[in-house]
Amino acid sequence: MDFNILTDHWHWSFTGIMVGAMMLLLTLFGKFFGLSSTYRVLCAIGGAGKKVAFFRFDWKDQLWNLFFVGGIILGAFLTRHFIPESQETTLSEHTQAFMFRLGMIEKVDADQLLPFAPDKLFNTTSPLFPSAALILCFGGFLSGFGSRYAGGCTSGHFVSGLSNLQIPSLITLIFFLIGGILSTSFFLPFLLNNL
Amino acid sequence: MKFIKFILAGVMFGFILTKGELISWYRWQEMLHLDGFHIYGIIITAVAVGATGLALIKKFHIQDISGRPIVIPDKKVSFYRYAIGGFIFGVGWAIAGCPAVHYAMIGLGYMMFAGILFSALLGTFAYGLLQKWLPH
Repeated sequence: MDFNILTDHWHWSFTGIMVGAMMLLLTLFGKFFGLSSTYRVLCAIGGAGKKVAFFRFDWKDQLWNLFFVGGIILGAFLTRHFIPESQETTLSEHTQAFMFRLGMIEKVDADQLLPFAPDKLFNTTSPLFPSAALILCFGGFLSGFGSRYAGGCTSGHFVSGLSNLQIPSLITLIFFLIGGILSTSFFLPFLLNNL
Repeated sequence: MKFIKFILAGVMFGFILTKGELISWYRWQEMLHLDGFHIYGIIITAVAVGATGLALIKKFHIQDISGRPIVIPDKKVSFYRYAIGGFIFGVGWAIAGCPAVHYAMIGLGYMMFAGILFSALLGTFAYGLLQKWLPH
């Protein structure tokens, strides 16, 4: 088999093995793999504990997690600079057609490679700026609110929690999918067409 | 420096998130249109590997690197917080992704995610503020 781990596209099964292994590695380090707790820590460091009891906790135990997410930023940065071809993704035609109708991509072509996110939404020079930024930040707000409410995000619930056979994580996943499906099919197009 | 191993693990995870296209906005849309198996496949494989590993850790009472027993706390059992919280998280995630994505995309140079991350912090703060009045 001729597989270059740096430049080739990864098969989902390989990525899955790596993600599972990452969770186990942190477990062996004596830590819990969950990234949304860094948001609580950052709020606490920012002084949120003065006003709200939820942010008065011993966040020094969680300091390692800030180094971990700092590493994520660095790792993504290094990947971008040293393996520039790793910044594109293929996309199924059906979703491409949907994105085309939303004006996010120029054409529908099963073989085209797309960047990780549409410039139309994510670039400050886009004609949709700043309303697109408003939509995205609203999404970020809900993501931060919902993950804390549910007690975990993708990593904490859908990787760590499910691996530990937690029913709460399964409930979270089911309602997460319902919310996400409604959001991408109706809510996001509604926002984009009305802002 | 006891934190160096976490930085290195983070660098590795940033690389995995990027190469695995987990941070691709288009990939989430595809997933939520039930139109691609990519991210579902990743979650299923990761959970298969993770569950096997955790089962072995429990069965053989494997200790962590500092020699302490590994105890993975159970999530508190309830319904509303997971259902409502999960739903809201899903609505937001479909538009702007989760924490791992926010951090990695900043590293990849998508600076809009700095604003998104800040908004997510506001969302977290809002939860802390309203926690008492929310059904759990």
